[in-house]
Amino acid sequence: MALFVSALIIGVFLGTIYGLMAFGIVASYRISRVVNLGQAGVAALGATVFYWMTAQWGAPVIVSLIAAVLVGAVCGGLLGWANMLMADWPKAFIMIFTLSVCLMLFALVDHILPPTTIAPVSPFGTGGFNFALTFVAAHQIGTFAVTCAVVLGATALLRYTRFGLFVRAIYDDPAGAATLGIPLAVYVIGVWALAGGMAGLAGILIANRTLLDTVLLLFVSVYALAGAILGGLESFALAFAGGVLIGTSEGILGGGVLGILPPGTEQLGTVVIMAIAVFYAGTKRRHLAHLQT
Amino acid sequence: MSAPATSSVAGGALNRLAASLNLSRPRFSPLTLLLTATLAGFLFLPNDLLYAGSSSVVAGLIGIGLFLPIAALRELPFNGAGLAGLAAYLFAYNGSQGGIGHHLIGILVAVICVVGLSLVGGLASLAVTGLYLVVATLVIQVGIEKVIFSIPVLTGGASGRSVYQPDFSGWFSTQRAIYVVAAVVVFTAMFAVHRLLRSKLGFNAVLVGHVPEGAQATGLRNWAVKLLVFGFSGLLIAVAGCMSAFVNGTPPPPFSFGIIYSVIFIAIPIASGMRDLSSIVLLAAVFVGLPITLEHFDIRIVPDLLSGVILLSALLLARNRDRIGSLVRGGIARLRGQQPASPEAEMELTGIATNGAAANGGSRVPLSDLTTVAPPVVAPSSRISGAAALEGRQITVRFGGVVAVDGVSVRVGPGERVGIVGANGACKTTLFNALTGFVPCEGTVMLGGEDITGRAPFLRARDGVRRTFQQPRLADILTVGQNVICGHGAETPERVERIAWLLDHFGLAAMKDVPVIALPFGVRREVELIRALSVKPQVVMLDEPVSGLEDEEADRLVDVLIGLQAREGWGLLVIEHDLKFITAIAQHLMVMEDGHLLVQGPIDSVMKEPEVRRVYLGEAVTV
Repeated sequence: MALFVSALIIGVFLGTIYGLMAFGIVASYRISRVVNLGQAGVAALGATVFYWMTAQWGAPVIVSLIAAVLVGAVCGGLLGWANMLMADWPKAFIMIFTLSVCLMLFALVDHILPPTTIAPVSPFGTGGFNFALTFVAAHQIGTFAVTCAVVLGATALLRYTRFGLFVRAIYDDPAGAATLGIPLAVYVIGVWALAGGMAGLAGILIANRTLLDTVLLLFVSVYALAGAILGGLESFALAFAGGVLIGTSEGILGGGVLGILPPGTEQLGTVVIMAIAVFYAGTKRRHLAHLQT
Repeated sequence: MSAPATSSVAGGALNRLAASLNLSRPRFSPLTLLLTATLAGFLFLPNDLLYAGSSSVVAGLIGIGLFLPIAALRELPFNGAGLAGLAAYLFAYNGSQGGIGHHLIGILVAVICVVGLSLVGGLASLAVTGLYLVVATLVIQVGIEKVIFSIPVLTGGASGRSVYQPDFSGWFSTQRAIYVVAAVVVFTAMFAVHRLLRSKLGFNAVLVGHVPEGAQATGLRNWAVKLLVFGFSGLLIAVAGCMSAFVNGTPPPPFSFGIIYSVIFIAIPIASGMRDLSSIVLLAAVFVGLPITLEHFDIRIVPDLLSGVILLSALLLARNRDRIGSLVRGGIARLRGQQPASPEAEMELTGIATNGAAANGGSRVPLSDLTTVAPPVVAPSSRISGAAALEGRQITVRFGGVVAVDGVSVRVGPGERVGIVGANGACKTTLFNALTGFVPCEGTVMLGGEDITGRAPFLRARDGVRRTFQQPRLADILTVGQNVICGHGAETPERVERIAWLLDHFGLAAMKDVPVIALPFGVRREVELIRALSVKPQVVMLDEPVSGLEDEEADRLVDVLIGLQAREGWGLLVIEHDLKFITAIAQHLMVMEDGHLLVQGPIDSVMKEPEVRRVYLGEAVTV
């Protein structure tokens, strides 16, 4: 039981971070129809800025957190601006452009960081408590709470504000929105900045577990992309749910809940669940479309 | 009749794009020459740099393997690195057991397993497409990476497993021999892919990937074509994986076949511009070979920075390739003291008309020739012999709770011409889709007395039920000639001759090498019709065939259709709004309203029906 609870907690922790990144991927996809592979680079840069400010400069955690998220937002905004400049490029080209930016950000991060692999401190401290014979870290609880709050806040922003109304108008028909006088550039860059900020935050939250390893962060980003696509790339709620599904299945099935399995096979369950999920989502896409946020 | 509104659409930029995508002309482009020079140049590198050359060509082969599903099927498989790694480990595992025999078994096992896994991706593409297939292939990648690569027995643990490498000394050293083998294998594979892309099989694959309904309407078994493409892609990647182990002496560690490399391997063909194989191998050579070379000269650049810059540069080059090419050609022309050609002149030189309407003015055979010159008859691979009637009995189509077509019966006998008219939304096309198997229906569809109700669209097409669509289902990146040859059946001399005859009689012979994306809408319709007629059909079903044609072109179409039908005796079923055309071509008319059959009969009597005049023709029309 304790093993299950522990695996579940890890899974939900990972899943909410995947969901947070997936939310950003869906936001930038819906406004530009471009799959943003730059999220991993932005996440790595955000986590690096956070680490640098807290560990090297001794800045307060909250200031470092805000600064890192802002750096992520600026990076995201710049990506959005570049995307606007490449409006007449094939979408696949822009996707590869975001990948090249991601690699360059990885290079920047590798250049900034010391040669040894390090982990940023948790913004939520090192405390925790026991639950069902399982230690629940404050970082896990904080990550869950902050992620849910950010996703709910972003959803409310998009659903109930004038900004959100305009963004949704652009989602549906960019040309039509432009004829209504909505400044496309401002909103497109704004949404990409929002996605960048989310990636920066996700990087800070996940790096405490994965260390500041760019390859692992790319893995996180790919899982987030898978979550976003499982959600149909149209629905924020489903993207978040897709991320949580992947994270939870990874936590439970990879956590040895089913006993000691031969090497490698403990991951087989995650693979099978992802396969089932993608076939369900892919073949029931029309059915899921009405759940759009 | 509306004039073709596409001459402006078929403007210079579009034509240039189409020309760039044209798969028809095997060209020894400067890029091909550059690639050949690069591959030859590698051979003269010092021994310690030859490894860069060998690794480059292997990466290029993976890029080519991934290029196939991207170019033909428009699918992005994100599992190239995992598949290559699996091949490398399987090859090394078997090869390390003994001599040449074990190595051959290793290659065989690697090819079987990787092609099998690639086919799993192909099977997935039958159920999900687009971004969902991206995730499905990612699942395969994660499965290989997390499950298979964590089996130490297979990977050989930290030390890996050794494979055979030749032992030479002197100028023709071991590394040089390895490079020669790798280059020869990759060059051979490139040649095979090059030929495949320009074969009927290649055109069929493109048709399946770009317009699946159009492919089915020509009798193609789409799932088989898709699996074939994925299988061939897997074969190339398997060979590349084995080569990777051979080049390194032992397979690289699992990290080298991780998800990041799958993403990068997909990026290589896309960033190369997706135009030709040379640019893919060249980009792979730069991507893989440059870091190794720089390291050799002690030039340290953060690897990811170099990779990002290379990808970005490749994208910019691919995006501006035409401009750069034009500048280079202009410069060469100036050096020779000639006037540089304008872009329009260049388009004409490459066979692309800048104005589709002008190109359509090709010479047409006079009508009288129709009676004296007969096209070769190419029998379809139908199990139904002789002339057969198509009959739909009480056809009903439901979309959820909506009854779109309600108990409509239709019959077209050999040599008969039946027209269907009705206002927009009368569900005429839905009736067509039901008869051709594109939507499920209640009722019975008979062809030549045989019940074909449950038969798939491609089987009906093979039985001789050929159709066109309201929006022509043609593969834009193929030329007119390539589009019309697509479909089930061999490319026999009779078929080629028949197609040539049809192209002549539709006045399109001069446009055979023009990509259809550059053509006006009406001409695209004619191309689709020629494709439908490329084998002798039992029944031809045309959905608004004269929309987008000029009056004289429509008249011509009537003449060609009636002449050909009189000769070959097939039935003709036509949906059309144009009353002049329908009265000229149809003998029997059906009028539909809201999914019901309102009235049918000989055209003269139907036109006089008060009810028809009320709902469709209007009171003022006099026939």
